[in-house]
Amino acid sequence: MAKRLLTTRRDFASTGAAATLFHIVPSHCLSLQGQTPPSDIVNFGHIGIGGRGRGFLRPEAILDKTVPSAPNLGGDGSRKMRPVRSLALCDVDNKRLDDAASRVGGKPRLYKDFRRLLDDKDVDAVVIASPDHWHALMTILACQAGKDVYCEKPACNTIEEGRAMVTAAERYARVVQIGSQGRSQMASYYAKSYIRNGQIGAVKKVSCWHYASPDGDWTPDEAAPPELDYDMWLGPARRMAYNKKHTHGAFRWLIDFGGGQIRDRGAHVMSIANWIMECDKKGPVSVECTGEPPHDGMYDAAVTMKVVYQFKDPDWVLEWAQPGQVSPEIDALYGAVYHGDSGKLTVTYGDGQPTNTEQKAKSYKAGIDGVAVFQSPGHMENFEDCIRTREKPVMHMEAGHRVASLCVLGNLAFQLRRKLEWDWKTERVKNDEEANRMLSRPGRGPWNL
Amino acid sequence: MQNDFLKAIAGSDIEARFAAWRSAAAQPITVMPELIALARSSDPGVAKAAAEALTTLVHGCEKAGLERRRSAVNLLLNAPSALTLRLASLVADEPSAALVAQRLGDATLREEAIYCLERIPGAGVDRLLIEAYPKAAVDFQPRILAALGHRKSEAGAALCASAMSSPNAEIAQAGARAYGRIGKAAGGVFRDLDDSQLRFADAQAAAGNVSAAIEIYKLYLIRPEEHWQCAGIVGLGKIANPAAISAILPMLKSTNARVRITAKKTWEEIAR
Repeated sequence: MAKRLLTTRRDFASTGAAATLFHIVPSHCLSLQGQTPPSDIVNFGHIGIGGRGRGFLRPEAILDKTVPSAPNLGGDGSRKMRPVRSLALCDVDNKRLDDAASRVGGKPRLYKDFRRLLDDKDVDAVVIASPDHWHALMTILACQAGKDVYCEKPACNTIEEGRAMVTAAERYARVVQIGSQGRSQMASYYAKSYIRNGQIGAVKKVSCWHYASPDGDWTPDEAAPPELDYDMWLGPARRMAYNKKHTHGAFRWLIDFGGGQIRDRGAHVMSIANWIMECDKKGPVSVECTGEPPHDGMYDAAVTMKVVYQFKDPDWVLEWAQPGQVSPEIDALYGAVYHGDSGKLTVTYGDGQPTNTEQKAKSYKAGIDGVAVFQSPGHMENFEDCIRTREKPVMHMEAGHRVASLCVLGNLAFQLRRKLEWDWKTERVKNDEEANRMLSRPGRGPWNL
Repeated sequence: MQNDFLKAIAGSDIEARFAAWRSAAAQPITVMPELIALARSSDPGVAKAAAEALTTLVHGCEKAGLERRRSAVNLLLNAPSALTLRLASLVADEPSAALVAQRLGDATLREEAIYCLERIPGAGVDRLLIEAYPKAAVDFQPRILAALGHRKSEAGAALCASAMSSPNAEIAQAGARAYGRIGKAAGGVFRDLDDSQLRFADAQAAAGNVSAAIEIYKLYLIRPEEHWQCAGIVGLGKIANPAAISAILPMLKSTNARVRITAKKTWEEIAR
């Protein structure tokens, strides 16, 4: 385990490291009979509690106990998670709602409409693990309701959505953490420290690899099951008939909903790349893509694709390839190789899989004059810390938007089969009016940004 | 060539269909009516191939010149459906908008028509939306207001201002949201302090109407909820003139820690 380096003032202020101050007076010291004072308990409201969302629930039985941080949230178990109560649960699927309630225990408040959960004054923060097409509106409305937000990745489905999320987080001074937890895993910290301290020279190319998206088949549309409020599941998305291969997890393979592997796992692998390359507030100047969609079947997200992003000042290239060249150093299903002018380094995964990197980075220790890198205590722990300190978390909203922008632009170049010249300051395509129209998506019915 | 292409799209060979729709950009647009018909096929593979071929053709129009683009849009709009309106939304320009606006009264296509109009640039589209508003079904009027807001239609500001005082809560709310997004003063009166008014204040500040913006932000400083106070502070911090700064100062002594922190950060940002 690497020791935390002395951080610069800027790192300290910008990443939530100030939260460590709270260790000086443990919360239990202020409590009666060793219990956590109610004021120290953060009340979470969970929106979307099937699949991924289930992993965020905190059973009532462990409310007053500190528990090891969850490895799939970036923690390594060496630190204890703060007391959090899963006070309120919301889902448009009754079966999932009932299942989550029984997992939490006690008497959680149950909602089918997330707006009613946001009206609940006792909820301090929300965890959003709904399908991707809901992320933007739910995050924005949560900020407007005064809640801090942990929102699953990818942050958004369009550029306009992402920018509106950034504006909302800033306007209401809310803490928003996007769930690309790879940044909070130790291997990412080792890799960033190794690369930022010049151990592979100036990075010229980052090559990401991932396996292909599924082809899909033809499954007939059917009536939505009675336990599901399908109109609310669709929300801002364009109306389409219910199909079990479009909903609950399978939405990933439609560009309008999940955007394929690039927007799913790309939001993990490229999040680490943006963090290491310090591109959380900028973007590429051009994007081009080659690839193939499914030849048949109900899905439309790219099965295979290679996206090339050009960055300027400094000049480097980011490549996303599915499938791509697996690193010879570490055998993994996905990851990235960082090519410097005097060496290279592999970083694998970046999501719920344990992120890994090469031994040379793990054993590297920067000198006292070296570049200090923020070491997250774990993704959810970092979020919980920032709720108290009001600092920006490691995967703050702007960072989430910039990573999602890479994924969105990759898909856009794939759909249009043209090279796009991107102005990352104005967030407009310089050479393509049609592409600019696709940077936003009109909302259905009342669900407008 | 054309027949071979359409035969491939309508055929049962998956790979031949795929090869055909991937190369559809090279086809004359005269194939579009038959593709539109094939996109309604009961065979999902044929319908997909036809829809993808149409999409490829439309994407290819962007760089193929105005004449081909407009001809393609006309062919799409002569056979209105969810698919054709979606595709038209990507490349249509102002002269085609009236054809789209005709569908605003069609209960089955109005949602797709408004999607399409929302994306087409030009003042003429704003006028079509404003003209459509009084004729639209009451439950669809909020959607028209939202489209005007999304387009930041200055011509639509007066209509949105008027809608803000509607007794229909949905229309009033949609009017306020659109008015806030547009950000042009046109006599609208906000019923509630909310995000719409903050957007309006942001727009006023950006347009140089700083004193009006400051008066709005100050309303939020005296709200009991801390996030509204924070929003007021953040808005004032962007203006950062003496009047704005003097309004922020007392917030540094707020009894609410989050408000204090926001005021302190804003103060530091101004100092930088």
